[in-house]
Amino acid sequence: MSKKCDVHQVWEDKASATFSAERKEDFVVLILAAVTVAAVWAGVIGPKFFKSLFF
Amino acid sequence: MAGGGIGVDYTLRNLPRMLPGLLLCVFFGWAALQWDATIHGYEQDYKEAAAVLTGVKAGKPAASFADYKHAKEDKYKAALGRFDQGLEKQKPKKPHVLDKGTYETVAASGNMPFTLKFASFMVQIQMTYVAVLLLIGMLIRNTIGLPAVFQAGTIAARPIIKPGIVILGAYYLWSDVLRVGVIGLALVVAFVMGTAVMICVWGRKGKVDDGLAGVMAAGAGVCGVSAAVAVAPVVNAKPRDFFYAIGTILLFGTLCLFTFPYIGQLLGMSQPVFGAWVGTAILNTAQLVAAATWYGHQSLLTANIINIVRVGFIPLIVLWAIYYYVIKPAAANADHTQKLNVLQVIREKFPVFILGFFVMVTLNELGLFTQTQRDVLGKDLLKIFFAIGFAGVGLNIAFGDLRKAGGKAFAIGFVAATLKAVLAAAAVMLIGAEAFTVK
Repeated sequence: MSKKCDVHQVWEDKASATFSAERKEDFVVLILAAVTVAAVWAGVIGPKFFKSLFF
Repeated sequence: MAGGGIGVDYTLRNLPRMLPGLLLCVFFGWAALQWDATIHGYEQDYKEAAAVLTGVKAGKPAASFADYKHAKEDKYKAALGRFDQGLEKQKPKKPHVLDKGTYETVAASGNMPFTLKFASFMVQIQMTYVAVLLLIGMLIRNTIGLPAVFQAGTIAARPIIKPGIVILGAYYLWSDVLRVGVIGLALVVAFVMGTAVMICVWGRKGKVDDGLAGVMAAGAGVCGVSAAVAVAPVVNAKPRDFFYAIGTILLFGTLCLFTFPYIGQLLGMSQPVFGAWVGTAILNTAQLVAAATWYGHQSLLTANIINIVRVGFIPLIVLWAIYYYVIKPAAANADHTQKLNVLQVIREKFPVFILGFFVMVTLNELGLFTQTQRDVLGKDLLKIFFAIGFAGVGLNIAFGDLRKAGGKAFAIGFVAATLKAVLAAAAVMLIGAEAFTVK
């Protein structure tokens, strides 16, 4: 019973850590997306940007 | 899995550890995009050279390069004039003109240069940046290997697909999201939740451990690794069960990724239909997005909506697992102490990045993006995010991980996921392209 509880706790901790990290990851993703959109709106990234990256 | 990784901790403290791998993925992604731009450029040359060759083979004397160029420009100006007068609805595109060397080689030899034939063949077999990143990444990982210094960064690169998913929202109107989303919801409920429930029931009948069957049901049914992690504590999964399930999910996803684009072509699936199919059948966001992008932009637009609906189901699959493995047995034993905290589960497990997608759709609905800005976001920048992310995906397909698939649940998970893919293909083909097209 106690072994079962230990296993449960280990997974509970792992799931909790995972989702906390995923939540943080999602916030980073949202910030990155917001900065990208702001750069496009501000004209910092325009239609020639992509082509300028390649030969 | 909501985006390809199990929660990457992007903190400044971890940055030095991640930086080499991230830079590797940026470089690898750039090289693949360079390849993509080159073969597509040559493919345009191929089409133009084919038109020149038709004239040459019909016995017409080849014009000089200057005459050829002038003729193209005159034709364009005439078309532009007709457009200005309102005689043509669509503004004509600038014509593709061969460079002097290529034109003269084609005109003199009467043959198609090998480079152009090769590039056209590469485009035909869909060897675009997506395929290059996945295939070469996988090859590198499983032959020369990935030095330890790059590992943390290549894992951290995978979720960089997610900002691409968010900014792609600039291409949608709410009417599209709701129309395709409602059908997507029906598909997700029928196939995704159906698969999860089937594995749970089948696993119990087949006397498979609750832990193994529960993790497999969540992973194979809904959303790969994230769902499996979310359900593991509910079903008291053992580490071995978890790795069997993850191995099975990764193996199935990898097989789908490399075969579905070709199966789609064989079955004559249109891009929206293919998008709906992969959105329903592939278990992992990164692999699903890669397969859809591989097939085409319209396919990606449809797959993205269905994927958003699907990852939104993670809290629901956890609620289902709590009910099936905890509440129901407790009620059968007259133990009424087990309660389901629905709000807490939704609050903890909801993938918040999809809210960014909805914000983008709303901004587009409000007319805050011009067509040029939409193209910069949804085509150019999307490709950059996806290329870096796919580089991480390819470099992390390790055959050793795939070999972890096993146990009784492997058979159940694999058969159920395959069945889901076959039935979903039939369903989306019956529903047809019109319902899934994002206009």
